[in-house]
Amino acid sequence: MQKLKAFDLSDVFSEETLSAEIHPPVYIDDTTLRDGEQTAGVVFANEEKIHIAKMLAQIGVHQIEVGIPAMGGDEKEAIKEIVRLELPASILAWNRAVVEDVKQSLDCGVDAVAVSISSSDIHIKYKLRRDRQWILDSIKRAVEFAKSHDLYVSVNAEDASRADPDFLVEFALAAKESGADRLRYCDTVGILDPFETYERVKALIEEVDIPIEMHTHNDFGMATANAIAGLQAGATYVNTTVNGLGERAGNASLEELVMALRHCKGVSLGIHTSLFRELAEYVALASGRPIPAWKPVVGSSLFVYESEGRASGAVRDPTTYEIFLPGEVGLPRRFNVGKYSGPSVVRHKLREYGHHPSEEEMLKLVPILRARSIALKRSLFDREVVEAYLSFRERKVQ
Amino acid sequence: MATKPTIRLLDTTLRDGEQAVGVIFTRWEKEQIATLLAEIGVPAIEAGFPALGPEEKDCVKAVVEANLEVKGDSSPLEVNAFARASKEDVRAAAECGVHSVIISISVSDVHIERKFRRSREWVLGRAEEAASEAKKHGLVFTMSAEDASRTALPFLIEYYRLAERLGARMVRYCDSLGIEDPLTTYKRIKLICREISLPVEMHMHNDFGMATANVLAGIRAGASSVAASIGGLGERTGNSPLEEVVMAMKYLYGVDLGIDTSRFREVAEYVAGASQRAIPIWKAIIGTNVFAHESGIHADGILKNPANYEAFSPEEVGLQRQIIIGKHSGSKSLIYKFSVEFGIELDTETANRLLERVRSTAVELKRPLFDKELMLLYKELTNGAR
Repeated sequence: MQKLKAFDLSDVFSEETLSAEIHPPVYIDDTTLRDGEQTAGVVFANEEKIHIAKMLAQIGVHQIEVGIPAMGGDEKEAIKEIVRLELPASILAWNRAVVEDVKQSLDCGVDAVAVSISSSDIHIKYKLRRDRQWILDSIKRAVEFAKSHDLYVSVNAEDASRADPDFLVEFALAAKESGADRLRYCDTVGILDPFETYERVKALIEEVDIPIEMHTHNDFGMATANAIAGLQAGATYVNTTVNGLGERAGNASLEELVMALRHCKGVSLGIHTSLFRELAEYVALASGRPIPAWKPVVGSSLFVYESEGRASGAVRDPTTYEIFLPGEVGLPRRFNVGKYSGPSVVRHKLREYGHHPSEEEMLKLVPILRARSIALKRSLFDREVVEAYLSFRERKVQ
Repeated sequence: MATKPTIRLLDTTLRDGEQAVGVIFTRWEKEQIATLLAEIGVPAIEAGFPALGPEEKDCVKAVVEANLEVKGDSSPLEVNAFARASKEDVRAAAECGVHSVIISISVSDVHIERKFRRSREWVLGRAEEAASEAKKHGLVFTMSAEDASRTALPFLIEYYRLAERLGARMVRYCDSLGIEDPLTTYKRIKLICREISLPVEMHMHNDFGMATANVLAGIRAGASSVAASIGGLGERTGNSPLEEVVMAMKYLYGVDLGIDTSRFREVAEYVAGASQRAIPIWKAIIGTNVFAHESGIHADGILKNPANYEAFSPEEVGLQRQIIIGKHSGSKSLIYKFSVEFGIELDTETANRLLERVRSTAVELKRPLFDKELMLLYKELTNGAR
């Protein structure tokens, strides 16, 4: 694989770059139903597709990428059904940059289309077995056809992160001149880091005046960070999926992106985040991919306090370890007693059950509970903690 | 001029990893994990938190006494213990016979005021006391700044300078709540590296999914050590995954950290079993789905040239490539799969007709097809044709 850039510690980023602000409005185009479903092994039933679309509209996503009409059959039926719901969001269908595909989208009644084609030489040569001019011609044909039918058009530059930057400019110009409304910058193989993302997107925006959408993959665990870097460089749309569902290691996750923008960058998108856990659970079941307990933003263990260091802070003031309250994403806060627990957790847990142990009792009880947790190789159930305390008191009385 | 730094890796699966809710390693598991880490070439580990009690001390001692050697450079595995900034904690670490101790204390005002209910002076005093204790026992020590990302830079630098004066070998920058973004991380680490001469270690959490990106940002800004964990195991959303950092350094920056990556899947499976946290199939680098291709477009691209959709080959991390046949498959994936796996050459027309049946069956079953189901559809189709 080509190296993006020789590693060079003498890199200096300007103060301007490092302080780049994100300028709202920023729009979310969620692709759970398209790229999410394209994941190997994932198939949504039509009913599920419809339900997910409704939930996405309910939480306030601006645009929903619903599927690929050219696949025909059930896929087309589901898309038509979603269009009929008249949800308060734009409905976008995915197409290859082929007029025939766009016709299928028109037939479904969507208001927006993505017209997708590879922009890297490696794809043009080895996958499509064509040349650059053929790419530009295909864009022109498909976009002009779509625009003549009053569709909103996003031109997807597939594999843009491996494209020759000069050709990418030509590609973007062809899209713009054919009447496209925006350009989707795809890091198809997930090989960018935030600095490369920033520089490349910035350079593209300086050359071509067209709204940019970020479509990032998580192959090296940086999908969310790269999407944010793209926004810092001036992109205004982000293509996300619920739980980060998507090909291989997945896409930028909707819930990570929205919360990172709100809490790390101070940009609010007006999304109803308190429904995140519910939405994540639904998509997890429909996709057959359970939410890991440690998943950022929506994992069930995020607001569970067990280790003394964290719990001692949280019982005094949750802001010591919480950037946002659990209710903001629909999760509960809980205390668990385990190997790393100390007096703060144990006292808190016993109080939940109406017991008020003394300092001296705590000193003796904590090592007993830790040893028990280690012996069982898991955290203790509440019942085990309370019973240990009660039997400890009994022994003391005797 | 380009300077290629040496980046030190420290694995904290056995400490921060074990601090994940519900995760407990037995002594034997800790030894096994330490052994695996040494075998794949990880030079340093954080083995545990001895002040927790006698059981944990036994675990850390067992790891020390295993006398592990780092494969590839035949130096001893550097075993670190974690300690809060107190004499007792450092003493407990010393009693385990570790090479070095990581002395940690919160330095942000929010923690100092609301968690400790103390002052900055009190924090510096505690740090000094703990450092003297470490020196008394002849321990090498790192001074760690918990919640560094929410700490005002002047005080953070004051803390690090104190570490320098006290003789620390390294300072640690913790994004304890995982709230930084890469550009901010870069900016702060760059400034810190200008102000102090000690090496800086990155310890970044994944609360908003940016742990790995933040670690790399720190390295680009001049940090020279990374605390990571297998699969990212750790408090809440976890840490930066060791396998992501290693592969990103190699494939994005061209820096080989000398780790035997072909055993990543194996090590991750062991840690998953011991922590009872299964590896999600879509986990970056080590998930089984990372090299599974279903969609027609991707499968077709892969068949023509794997570089179309793969940044590195599956063997490199101990995985296998799979072509899955389901709703999104195309006729070319069918032709390929039948030829390579079943020795049957499909013509285009048969492939197209089979594809229709494959798609409707996959939607009905709501999953991709098993090979047997695929063969059944093929037989139904070809028999019907006769």
